[in-house]
Amino acid sequence: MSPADILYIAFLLSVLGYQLGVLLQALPVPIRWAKRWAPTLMSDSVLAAFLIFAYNILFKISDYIVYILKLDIGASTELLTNIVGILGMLIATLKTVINILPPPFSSILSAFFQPLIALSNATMLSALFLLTITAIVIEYKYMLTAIAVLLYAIPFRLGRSLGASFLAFVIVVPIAIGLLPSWLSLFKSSGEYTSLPRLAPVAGLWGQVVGAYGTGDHGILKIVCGNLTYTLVVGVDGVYVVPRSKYGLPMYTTCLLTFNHLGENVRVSPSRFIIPFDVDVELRYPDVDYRLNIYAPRTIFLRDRAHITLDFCAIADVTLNNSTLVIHCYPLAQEVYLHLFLRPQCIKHVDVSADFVDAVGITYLGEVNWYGVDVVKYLVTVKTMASEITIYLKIKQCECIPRKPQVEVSLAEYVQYVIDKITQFLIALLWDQLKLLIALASYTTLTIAAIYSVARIIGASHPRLVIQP
Amino acid sequence: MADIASFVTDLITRITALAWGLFFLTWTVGWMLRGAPIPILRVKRYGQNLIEDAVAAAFWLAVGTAVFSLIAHVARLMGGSPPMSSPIVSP
Repeated sequence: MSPADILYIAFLLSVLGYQLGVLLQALPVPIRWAKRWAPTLMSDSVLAAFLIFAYNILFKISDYIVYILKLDIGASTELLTNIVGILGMLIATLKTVINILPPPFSSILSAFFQPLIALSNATMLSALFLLTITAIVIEYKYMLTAIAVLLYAIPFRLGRSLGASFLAFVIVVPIAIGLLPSWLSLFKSSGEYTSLPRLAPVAGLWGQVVGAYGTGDHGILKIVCGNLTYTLVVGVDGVYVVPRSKYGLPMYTTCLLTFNHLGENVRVSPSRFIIPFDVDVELRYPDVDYRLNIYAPRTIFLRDRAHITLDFCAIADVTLNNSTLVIHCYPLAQEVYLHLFLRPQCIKHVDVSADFVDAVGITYLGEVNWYGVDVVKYLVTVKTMASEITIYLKIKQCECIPRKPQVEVSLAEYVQYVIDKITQFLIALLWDQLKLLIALASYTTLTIAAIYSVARIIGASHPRLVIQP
Repeated sequence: MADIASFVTDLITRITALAWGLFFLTWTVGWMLRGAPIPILRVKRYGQNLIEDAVAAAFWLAVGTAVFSLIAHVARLMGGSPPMSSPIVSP
């Protein structure tokens, strides 16, 4: 049945209503309601007939308003389709993620997922509802208008409220859908989400900081992995430990390494690393997986009391005999430098002498405070033409308390960092979902309210019963 | 569709005939009551009302076609167009 057929029946019904009105008027019986209905029936029929002939004006009303307001129903429909598509994908993704999340993350993050899925479902339903009514209006606009007119034309106002509602629906919905993007822009989302960190597995690490002689006790080891910085103070025997649980280092990430001892950035090898290493997993500490020894090939450590760094002289052998440090090395230039970093509380005096050298000079470079530790710096310059030299450092040590630098130890909590980032992301997502839901649900309500109001104006909501004209 | 349309058309024809019949009846009854030799003023006035109703009804019946044509004309002036292909059925 085409809209033209329906309108034809509507026209016949309006004629019928008119004739019924005349019939009631001509009735020779003094029935008051019948006499009162007569003019009403006739005027209703005239109105219905007018609507039939003005049929194409009816749905042009909304088209005209849409045109005046420069609304794009196509864009709105596409927006709604996108919302439904994105939400569908989001729900599917969330359900998958719940199943595949590794244990440290799953327990914390799954708390977010259930409400997020529920919210997304509700939002998708609202969007689907709006999309459905849009599709109905676009597809069945002519049919709906014809049916509305037909209902209007039924005598005795039997289908008037329903007809008015249909008509209001056809007029309001295209305008409402056209205005949807403006409404949604009021609830604009918080913009780009912060990029998610890579969910790398974590590993524990331990090792020793070893020099050409001795270990770099109480030095500051700094490991930088991506945008995470781990600062730790090396313990006795140069041992450092980064436990896996809570503080673990991200694997498959390039980490840079620096070592500072008594205020000098000591050159160490390796200066960068990526876990896993091509070695067996270390089982010495319960929470540690890999071992990484850090070498300072040009530096001689006297625990946390002092260190000596040689420039232009490759160290061959270092021995400590009765407080005399003997260094054999191969000069690489005619001048060899020894940088002495001493704690004055521990080392009272240093005598420098050397074999196979032309001259030895000592320069005092001053005293600094390195994170609460007093350090005295000297520069020893050795001039030589020989290919191998021996330097003797007679060190007069005294009892002193081991002193750690007062540096803020920060073990970047990678797991916590990742969870924080994902939580931020999820909260943003949750908030955006909530806003979208509020926007769509309120818009749906508003649209329905507008349809109701227009229907009321057109003539619904107060259907008059047959016996009460 | 044709069934409904023919049914409604049939109904219109019958009702129109009935309305004309009722008009004559009412008009006659009205004159009868008015001309009756009964000295009751209420009855005479009722007769008068009946005649008036009958005449009005006859008038609207007669101009029915004209009314619907006028509506079509006004709607066309406003930009509407008769959507149906079938001819307008006159009552």
